[in-house]
Amino acid sequence: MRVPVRIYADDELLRGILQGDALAQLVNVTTLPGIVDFAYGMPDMHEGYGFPVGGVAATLLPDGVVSPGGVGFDINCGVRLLATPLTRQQLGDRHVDLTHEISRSIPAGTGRGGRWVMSDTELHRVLTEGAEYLVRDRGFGLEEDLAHTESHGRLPEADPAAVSRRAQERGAGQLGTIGSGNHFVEIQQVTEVLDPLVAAAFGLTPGQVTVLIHTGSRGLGHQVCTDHVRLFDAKLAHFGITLPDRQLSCAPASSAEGTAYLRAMSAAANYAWANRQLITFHVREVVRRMFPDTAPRPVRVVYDVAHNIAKRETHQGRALCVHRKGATRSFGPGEPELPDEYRDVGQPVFIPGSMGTATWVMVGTRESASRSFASACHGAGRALSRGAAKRAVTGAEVRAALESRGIAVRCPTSSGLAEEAPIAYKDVDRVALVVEKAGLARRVARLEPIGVVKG
Amino acid sequence: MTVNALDHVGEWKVTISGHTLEDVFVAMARIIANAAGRIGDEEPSAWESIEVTARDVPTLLVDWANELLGRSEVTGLAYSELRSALVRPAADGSARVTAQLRGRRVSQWTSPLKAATYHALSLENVGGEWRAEVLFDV
Repeated sequence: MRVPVRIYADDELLRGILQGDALAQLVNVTTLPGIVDFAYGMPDMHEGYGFPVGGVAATLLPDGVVSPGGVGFDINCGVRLLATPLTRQQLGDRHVDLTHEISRSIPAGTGRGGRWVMSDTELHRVLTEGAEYLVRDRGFGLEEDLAHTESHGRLPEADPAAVSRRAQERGAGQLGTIGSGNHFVEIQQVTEVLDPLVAAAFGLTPGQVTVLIHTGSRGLGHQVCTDHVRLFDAKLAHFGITLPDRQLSCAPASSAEGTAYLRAMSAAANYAWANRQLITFHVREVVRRMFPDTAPRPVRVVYDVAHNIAKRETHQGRALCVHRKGATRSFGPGEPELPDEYRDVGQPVFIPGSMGTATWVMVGTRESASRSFASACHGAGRALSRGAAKRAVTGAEVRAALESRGIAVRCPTSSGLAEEAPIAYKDVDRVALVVEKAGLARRVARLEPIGVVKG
Repeated sequence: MTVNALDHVGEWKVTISGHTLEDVFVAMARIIANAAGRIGDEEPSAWESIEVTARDVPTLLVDWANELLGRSEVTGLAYSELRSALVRPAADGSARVTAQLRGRRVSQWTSPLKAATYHALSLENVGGEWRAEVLFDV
């Protein structure tokens, strides 16, 4: 161990964390060359591969390592919250139609499926310019969407030349799609506001209808990670690095290999921001069609945050490569990157639960900078394996339970519903409270689902 | 050959047993094809040649899985039919798999598999039977 580990949890969450290999995996992270301070475990931490899910680690640049396993295969998987001009009362029982129309307009599942099969030129611009390209050149959004997106939806280090042909082929037809697994688009209502001042800054009011988008860089990101884990794994001896887990394979960020990964990862991150931007466009179109009277008041992007990414950031005067694997950036007030209306309160942080449970809107704190490299958790965290969830409940039972509570459900497979059932996840209210008590972010508003489109 | 899924909180772990290395590699291809989603009614595609090399046999199994996942997503095919599969370990420890494969078009993709990982990877001969354990990111 080059540094200690530090885990934020209460007794109950800690018991869950200690049941699997998550702690051992976090200890493995402490062996990364160049790691500083602590390897942090977020309250939703659970067993993954290489890094645990909910793990945060930073290495000292220029020569500290970058590890694709500290980012994951779904590069820049993240969440974007949209605030609609509708109230729950205005929506009434049309939430079923809204869920259905959104599911029709946004392809779910894996593989190809997007309506837009991009030319090489278009794909390269997505990889280079991210959400900017979609907003400024293609008309798929508003200028303010970019200000309300982490890094303005574009990492400048991106280089399409660092992205393999196979990765580009996988990505060409998938922009504007959700994917499978735990990815979703959820229609929600604001049921509780704990911090009215911050909620007002975020433009959230009780009874408002919101839409949460959870997806990432799709097959393109998976391939970028695959390519570079394989390359780094083969080069570890060359760099004189020994690791307890091959899936932690890494390279100095300053090396040719490390630089190439950061360029490819940045391109995949830009693809993910463009993906969520295009889905935003489709949601706006559905709302505009179904509720033409609301057209003068657009669906707003509250914020868009990544939770699988490695970024160059400065903390306590040090240039670091911060890995967030299943963890969300949590900037406090005063950060120059934040849009004007959020700069005095801090960055929005979203902690989704699961289908049928709440999502917490939180706000980043100044304290998080010294406690977790300005990071908070990314969700409730899994408590059961997918197999255990399917043994405990069927997809039909999950659907019936959700619909009995007035939650509309659209999902391509019944087993997918069972795998992502609420019982498979930890208690999101407990997780959000621990995040607040740890000083990583503060609770602002609670959102409850009224419609789920699952990938 | 036998295939079993093991519980893992975050991801998906699978064990494969077979009399030969080729059995294990063919089983891996079928796992990926079966997970792809709903298969259409069209005739199978033409046979394609495939070749993957790696520094050792266990690594080759993961790289083989990832090649099939990527290829399948690009072509839109679930590769469930293989012939002439051959796994050749070399004297220096490296290994190569060659095969011909063909598949059917996937009409609705629902595969949860993102990639195979090297985490806790094993592939060994126990009592004359080859046993592999591979963790997938899902």
